[in-house]
Amino acid sequence: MSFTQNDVKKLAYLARLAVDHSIVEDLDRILQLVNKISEINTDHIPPMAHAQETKQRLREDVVTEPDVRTIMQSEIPESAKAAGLYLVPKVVE
Amino acid sequence: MEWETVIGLEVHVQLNTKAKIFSGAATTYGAAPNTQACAIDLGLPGVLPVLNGETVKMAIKLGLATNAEIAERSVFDRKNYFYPDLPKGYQISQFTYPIVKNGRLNIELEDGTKRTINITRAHLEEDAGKSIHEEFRASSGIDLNRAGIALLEIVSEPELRSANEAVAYLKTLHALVKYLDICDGNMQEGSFRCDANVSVRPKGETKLGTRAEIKNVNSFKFVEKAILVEVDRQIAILQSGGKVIQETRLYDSQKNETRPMRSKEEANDYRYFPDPDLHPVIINQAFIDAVKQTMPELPAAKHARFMQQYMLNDYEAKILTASKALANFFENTVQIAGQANTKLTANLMLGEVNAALNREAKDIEQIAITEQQLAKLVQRIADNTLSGKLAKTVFELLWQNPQDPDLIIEQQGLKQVTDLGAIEGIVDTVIANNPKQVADYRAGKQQIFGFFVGQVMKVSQGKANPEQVNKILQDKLR
Amino acid sequence: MHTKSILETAKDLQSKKISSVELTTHFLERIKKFDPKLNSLITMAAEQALTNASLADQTIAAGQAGPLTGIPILHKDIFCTNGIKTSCGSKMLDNFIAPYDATLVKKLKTAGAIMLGKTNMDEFAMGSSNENSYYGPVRNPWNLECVSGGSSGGSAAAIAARLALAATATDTGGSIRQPAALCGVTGIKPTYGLVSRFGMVAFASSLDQAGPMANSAEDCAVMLQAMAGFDPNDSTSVEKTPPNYVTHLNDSLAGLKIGLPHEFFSEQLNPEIAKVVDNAVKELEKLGAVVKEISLPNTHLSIPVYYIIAPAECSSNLARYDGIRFGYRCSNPKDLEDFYVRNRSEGFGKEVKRRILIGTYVLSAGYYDAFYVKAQKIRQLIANDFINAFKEVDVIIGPTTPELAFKIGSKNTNPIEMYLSDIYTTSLNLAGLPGLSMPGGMINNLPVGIQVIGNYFQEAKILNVAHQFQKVTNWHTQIPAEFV
Repeated sequence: MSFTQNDVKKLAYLARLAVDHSIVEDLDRILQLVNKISEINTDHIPPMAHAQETKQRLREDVVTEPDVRTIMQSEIPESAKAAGLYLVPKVVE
Repeated sequence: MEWETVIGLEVHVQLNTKAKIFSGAATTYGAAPNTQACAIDLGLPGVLPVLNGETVKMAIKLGLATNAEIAERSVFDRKNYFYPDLPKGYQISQFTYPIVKNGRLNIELEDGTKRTINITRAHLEEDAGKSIHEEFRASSGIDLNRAGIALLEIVSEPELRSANEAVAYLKTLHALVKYLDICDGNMQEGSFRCDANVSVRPKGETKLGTRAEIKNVNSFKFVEKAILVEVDRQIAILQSGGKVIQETRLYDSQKNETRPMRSKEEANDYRYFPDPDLHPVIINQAFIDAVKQTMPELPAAKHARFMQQYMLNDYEAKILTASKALANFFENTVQIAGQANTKLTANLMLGEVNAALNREAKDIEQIAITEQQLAKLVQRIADNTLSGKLAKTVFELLWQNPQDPDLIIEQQGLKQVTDLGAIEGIVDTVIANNPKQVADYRAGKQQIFGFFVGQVMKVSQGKANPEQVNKILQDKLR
Repeated sequence: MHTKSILETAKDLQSKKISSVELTTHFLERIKKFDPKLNSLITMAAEQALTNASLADQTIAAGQAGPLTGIPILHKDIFCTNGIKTSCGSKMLDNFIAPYDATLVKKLKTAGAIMLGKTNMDEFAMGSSNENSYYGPVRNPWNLECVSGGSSGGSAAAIAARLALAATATDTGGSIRQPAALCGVTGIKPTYGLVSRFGMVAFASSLDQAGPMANSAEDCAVMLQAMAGFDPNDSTSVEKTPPNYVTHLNDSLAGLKIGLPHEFFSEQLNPEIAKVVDNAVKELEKLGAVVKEISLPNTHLSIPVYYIIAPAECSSNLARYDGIRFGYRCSNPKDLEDFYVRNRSEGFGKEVKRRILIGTYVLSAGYYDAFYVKAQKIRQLIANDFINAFKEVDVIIGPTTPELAFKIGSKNTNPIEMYLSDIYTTSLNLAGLPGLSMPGGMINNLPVGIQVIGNYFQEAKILNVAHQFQKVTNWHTQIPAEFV
């Protein structure tokens, strides 16, 4: 089992990351490490998501959050917002 | 070559809860941008989702209303992809274990054909925000008010065979979610959004053809057009020996054509996995029973009851129960007008009211006339104050200017003349003024009876009671 | 002042021997003096600290003080602190001023604790040496050439150097216990779900847990008491009322069954470390405990499983860092794609990128079942090992780490080498069990940590074991020479 440059390119695109080819070696090493699990028989074992399998608690249908736009938008520079909207380079549909 | 159309519909129903599905922010439509997007909706570092219980109840309602299986255990999964209107870089949805499965929707086409369409599944998920592209030259503006609003995605089996059927299915589903009061059904505001998966295949072929997904068509009319135009497009491709590409397309209503969406060329690997911030939703029978208690009367049951209780025929009951609001309006009006006047009320609603609503492309929710006012109109017909014809006139006036019908009758002097003496007087005058016609009638020309009726009505300005006019004329013309 | 316990200090505060302002000033000065050697803090919040200390003094004067009122603490820079920079050790959040408080920050505030500042950490909690921080490595107070451990290296080093009386930290694969061991302090990772994760920047959601670090089990107990408890804002928070951790510290250890997993004591284990653990166990036997050898057969799988699950969850948790609503934003992006790629690539460090890519891989179509799902199944096997063991024993003991603090830069060439530090710790995160590390000895003047593992929600028991051990030993009272 090994990563090719192309494999890494695809993964990098899915993750929106730019990486240089030196990372392939690192990823390969990690892959060797984790691939140890392929030797283990896990038939009939349920996957474990959480330590305590509990049920999801339900919240009441009540509005609890006020308008926090000013606070939240203080996180970005003026050039990144306009008319209350967040600005990004144009999305082409 | 005969072709068969195969359509599957995915409808995103925006649930009308007060707060969002995983946060306590408000869901009101039309708020100023980003004033209803709290830290959780914005996906700030460290925030966590907590499930709004009302969304679960609404999903169960939809499940019960479609005879579906309600999953005892359903799981929220993350659907991972990058888009500016998706703040966390993933959408919380349900992939492997949806909350509702295997339902059915009974639809009826315009020609009366009935079909049962299977609903594969319905699952809960959060809505994304909105992107505004037109306002800024080199940028797009993102509004996250909609991010996190609860959606119920309802997926049908690809069993629909025409644009007609697709529209019938959508209209039925639309009425149902409004009936259940889980969605306001406002398509202009995006509360009910349809994606159509369309493919064609040679008639008799059992394998499915390659499908195209037409996204976000926001009116029944456009769904129909989009499907028709897409089917034609696909047939043309296949007939010329080409292959249909599996892709997402948008419907352009101006040009009446579909075109591919640029961004979705590469099949996105969504890497679904159970959301570790949430536990599975566990629903027991007691919970379902409690929800059942709060269910409103469903369309089919109401239809049957209307036929029985109000002595309506199948067609009449169908029209009057098409929407819950219409049915309620009718019942409330009957309550006020009196049970004895059920038939009159039904006729008025099926006739004048329906026509006026259609003419102005309005729903009953937008009618300006109140139930009290309509009931009063019914009563004035019943007690002979108004003739049938004049009742129509009064209705039109009411429609323009809703008020107590008695005021209109007063102002316009429209009271029906039922005074026998007065009618006799008019009849005598008409007979006296038209000796030739009288002679012809008495000689055997029965068909000119209508002439005399017309004359009497003219003189009485339409106010004479037709029954009495007929009776007196027949007496006097003998 | 900096060598006393929290409870002793609380007594002094309440008897007016000292004021919180004096205490806070003392620690702020120690930070100014000593932290340049350690780089354990990212942000100092001196002004707010003194204001809050003054308020604390008023509360004390009004007779309304609790054990933490006026006590100076530090928060790992992974917890959102309202109005104060919260960087998570990353360039990505270097400009992020948290607009809200994490639940545990609120709880400690309510308890009257005084926050002196935010501690350094491996970027997004990914690392075992605190060398992955945008703000530079943290140095071990016992040997400034050596790492402090990670990812809560800043908290561990600051506590070891007595720059505060306690610190908060987080543990996903060992990030409280391992740095605690390397720095010679006490730290506890509670049962998953005991402490709220709301406001704690997420790394791996099903593994992350917050816990305290301090110079004694008793101090940790006082802190945990204030931090633990149900939070309706966290769906994974458990609806259990925590017991009184402090009163249980003095329970007798007579008859306590200690399990020693033979997998933790293989021939590969450094014999000197094995000896330290052995000595510690002997002390506990003197107090009445009995030892039993047990087996945790799937221990060797915990690292591969961890390095599938943690990266998978983090690849998704870190997708929100796109520069649009907060965080690092590149200049002059060409287009939207460039905007995303540059924001993320310029904002994240190498280790974070590696883990995101591995995580993306193990979740991707065609690999999801073979990796992620299979890892979750083996996770169950690992948990079962412990569940079975706890039928026979009350606590499990072993070394916290296979090695001592290593030289800064010595594990740079191969990420796997770093991952293997977690051999004894990751299984607890996978199983969701509580575990603590306490100092148990010294080798070459570097601390050795002993790990005490408990069954679900048995924090009181493991703190009890540690406290009794600390009553008859004084490894935990040692202070590195430069910081006395």
